[in-house]
Amino acid sequence: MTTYTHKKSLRHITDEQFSEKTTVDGNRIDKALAESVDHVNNIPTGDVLSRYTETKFVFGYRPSRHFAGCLTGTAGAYYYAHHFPWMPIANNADLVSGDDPGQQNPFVVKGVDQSTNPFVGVYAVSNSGPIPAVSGGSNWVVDFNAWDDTGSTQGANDFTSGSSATNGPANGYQFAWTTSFNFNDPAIIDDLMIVLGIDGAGNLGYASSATIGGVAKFENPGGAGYDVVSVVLMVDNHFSKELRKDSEIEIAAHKYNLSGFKYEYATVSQSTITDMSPPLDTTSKGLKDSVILRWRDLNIPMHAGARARLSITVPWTKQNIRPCGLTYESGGAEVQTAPFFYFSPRGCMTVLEEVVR
Amino acid sequence: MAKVVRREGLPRGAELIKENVFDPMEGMATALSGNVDVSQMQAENGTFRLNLNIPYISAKYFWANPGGWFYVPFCLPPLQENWTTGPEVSPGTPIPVLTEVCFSFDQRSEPALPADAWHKKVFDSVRTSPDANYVSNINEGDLVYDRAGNLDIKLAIFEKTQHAFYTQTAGSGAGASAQIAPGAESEVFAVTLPAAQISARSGRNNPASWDGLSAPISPKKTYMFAINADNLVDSTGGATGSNHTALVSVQVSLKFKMSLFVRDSSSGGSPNNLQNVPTASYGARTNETISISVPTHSTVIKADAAQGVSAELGKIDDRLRHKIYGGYQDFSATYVGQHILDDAGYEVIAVPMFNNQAYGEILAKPCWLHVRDNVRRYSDRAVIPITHPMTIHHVLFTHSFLTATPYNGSLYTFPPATGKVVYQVGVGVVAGQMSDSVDYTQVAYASRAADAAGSAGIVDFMDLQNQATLVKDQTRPQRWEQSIFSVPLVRGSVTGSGYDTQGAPFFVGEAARNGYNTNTRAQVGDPSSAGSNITTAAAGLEQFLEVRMRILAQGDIFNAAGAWQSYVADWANLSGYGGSWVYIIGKKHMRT
Repeated sequence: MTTYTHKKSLRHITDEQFSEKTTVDGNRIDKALAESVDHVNNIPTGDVLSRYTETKFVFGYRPSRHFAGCLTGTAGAYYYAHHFPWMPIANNADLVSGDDPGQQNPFVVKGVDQSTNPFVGVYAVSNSGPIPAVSGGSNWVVDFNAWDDTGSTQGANDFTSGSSATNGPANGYQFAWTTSFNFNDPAIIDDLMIVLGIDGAGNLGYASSATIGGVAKFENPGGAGYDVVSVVLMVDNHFSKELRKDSEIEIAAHKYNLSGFKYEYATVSQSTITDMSPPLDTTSKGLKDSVILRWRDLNIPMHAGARARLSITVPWTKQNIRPCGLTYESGGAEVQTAPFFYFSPRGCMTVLEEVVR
Repeated sequence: MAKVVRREGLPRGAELIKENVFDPMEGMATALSGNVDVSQMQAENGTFRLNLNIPYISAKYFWANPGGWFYVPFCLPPLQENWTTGPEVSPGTPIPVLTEVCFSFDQRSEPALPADAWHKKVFDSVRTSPDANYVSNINEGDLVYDRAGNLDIKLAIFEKTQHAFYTQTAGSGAGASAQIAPGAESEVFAVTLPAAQISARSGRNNPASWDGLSAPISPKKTYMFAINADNLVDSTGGATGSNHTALVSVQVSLKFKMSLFVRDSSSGGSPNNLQNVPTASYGARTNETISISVPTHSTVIKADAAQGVSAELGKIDDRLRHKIYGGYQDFSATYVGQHILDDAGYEVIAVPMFNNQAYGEILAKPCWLHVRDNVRRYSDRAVIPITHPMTIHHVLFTHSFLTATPYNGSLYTFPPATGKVVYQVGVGVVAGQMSDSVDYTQVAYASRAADAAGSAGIVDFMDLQNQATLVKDQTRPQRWEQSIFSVPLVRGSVTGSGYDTQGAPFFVGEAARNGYNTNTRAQVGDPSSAGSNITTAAAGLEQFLEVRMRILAQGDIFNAAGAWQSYVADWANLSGYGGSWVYIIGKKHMRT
């Protein structure tokens, strides 16, 4: 059988074709060489396969957890710092201060509302109602006076109080840390990592014991259960940029069992670790007990002009509930349900961008 | 290599000799054989971003500093091979160009601002005491619609000469004889994000960006990204009128472009020129060889046979049609044959430390008891995933004395006593996620005292004379508001270049065995014995960069009787408003 051998033609760097038994004159050769040399001297970006470099958006902080009166107070009363940058995912009249023209977006993060999820059970959130709904009423003046007091009565009637029995949002809200980015030129999301860092006593401010409040870190009291952290990356809809229900979801990570994402599974003897300087708490080398959620090689394109919003959501559920070990309590002296103070949220989004002129 | 040249003009009727046809072809083949430099690429610049994530800026900061600036200093110094000690930039040093500024914050997707933790609270001298105002506010984060229309946000990038290259004097003294550290000398960028653009129900400019900029940045100067948002403070007054609001989850992204350049490499003969580099390649390029078969003299030049015009030019065409490449592959592997010479770009990774504290700053007594007992340290750490190889050339960190706690008639914040507090910063690579073994390899480390202009490792300092740090006629002993310190790389047998004596560039990248063989690494500097080499502890299995920072008291916080030591005065400012930033600076590489 006669085999066919395909002979490639010049196609890319010049349009000139040269074949046997056709006229090959100097003008055509000259044109071909000129086009080719010009091409190689100014290689188009599209001819470069490895035309991306990466950029890292690093975020995170270590929370200030509590304050036991230092200058004037006495140890034993726990007051909580602000919970920023975490804010409720819901927008409603109960979460407005001052004039209320009505809410444009009932939810700022799409697809994470668990208030109608029948499987959440005791970890249910309602994402509605005032914060806090405390005994004694939600009258603002009452609450403000409590907050505005000093000394032992400070915070006695708001969610920062040391009394876990009567405080915390009775209905439960989900809170989000939302960061937004603008990509004027096309980009590619390559990697996303979220760390819920646990450290030792000298770092986060509490002892790194095997359990938190009798519950293993990042596990439910009943074992592997409902998994309440969500990570969502949305891009504004180009035609309705301010309506979150129209946003395009690019990453939606829900209901991951956090116990499956621990930094390490095996028990590594801390004494065997070659550490770096400066040393941290001797019980927390290597992010022991921390959770790392990481998604690699995502290859998610961002169009030119994309407005991306990255949200991490956690529930602040009904009082005395410890979803997924997100909260901590030491003998009932602290509010059990506010998750913001019990891990150091850290993360990094890696984005690929093209080389430019 | 330089651009390919060819003789012009091959008119009809001219004698066709091989030099006319094949010299340019050989030039092109040589270029594509691993010698494509930036002069031959349509897109000759890499981009990089300085990304600053600031979780929270309270109205209190701008109440304490009316008309002032919350700012973050940074610099983009020359890489080690371009390093010179004088104020001039050496010829050939690539220059960063600012092309885009992005700014965003969380409005909860409403034409509103979030209520501050100080919402409905009247700022006055009594409440400047941090002790009385630690707790969370039941209204914080609430939507405040009627304040969004009041807030113009001013953004600026200031420039100043750098102490490391042009010696300057830190602040000193108090009162009328006080000397203030130098401030901004010029402005590179300034814009106002007007209230109308964040308070509309449609078309809000958040996230906002300003592109098309072309501002050259000096590698030997210091810059400050600054924010003013005075109207976060509601001056209406009264417990029911003070609708103070906050900037929450601020994201700043400064995009730069800079010419691509050659990546770092070493060799088997001098492996320590690049610490931790895979010994399978030492980072060296292996070029693809494209050969043009040139006919001899008196051979007829054919059209598309071997040694013909079409066949030989087709080799160039074929290569470009299948695209050219450079940089690294996955797992730090080099290409079997690459084409691009300049395949690396500038990179800076900004890592926030000690940010988002309860008061926004770390004041001695109110914060130190946060750690409950008589520990002498206050620590923070961050991890950054290693996704693609980079080489680290410099590590810097900023230190702040900014404050939102102004003079209250008797107390004011001030730097801790000289010699009593040090700031320890370390960068390492860590292997061990989901494994039964965890180990770190030190990349850089320094212990710095933020005491004086002569402090070891100081790169620069500045003072924009914010009111709370200055207290005007009550001028306190203020060294500076912000400063930058260097953190030298570990140093083995090869000494690199930089602000301090430090080691050669440090390679960071994932590895694989079985064919890639990138897990075997060159030795690195011994952190405990500068000048000596040791085998890397992470054994080429690194997954993350870890950044640690520790504020360490030089002595006990409490005396034997359990009372505060005198040097830990109430409002000694251990870490100012906004905390510190660690900058990891080096080369990143082209990738697919």
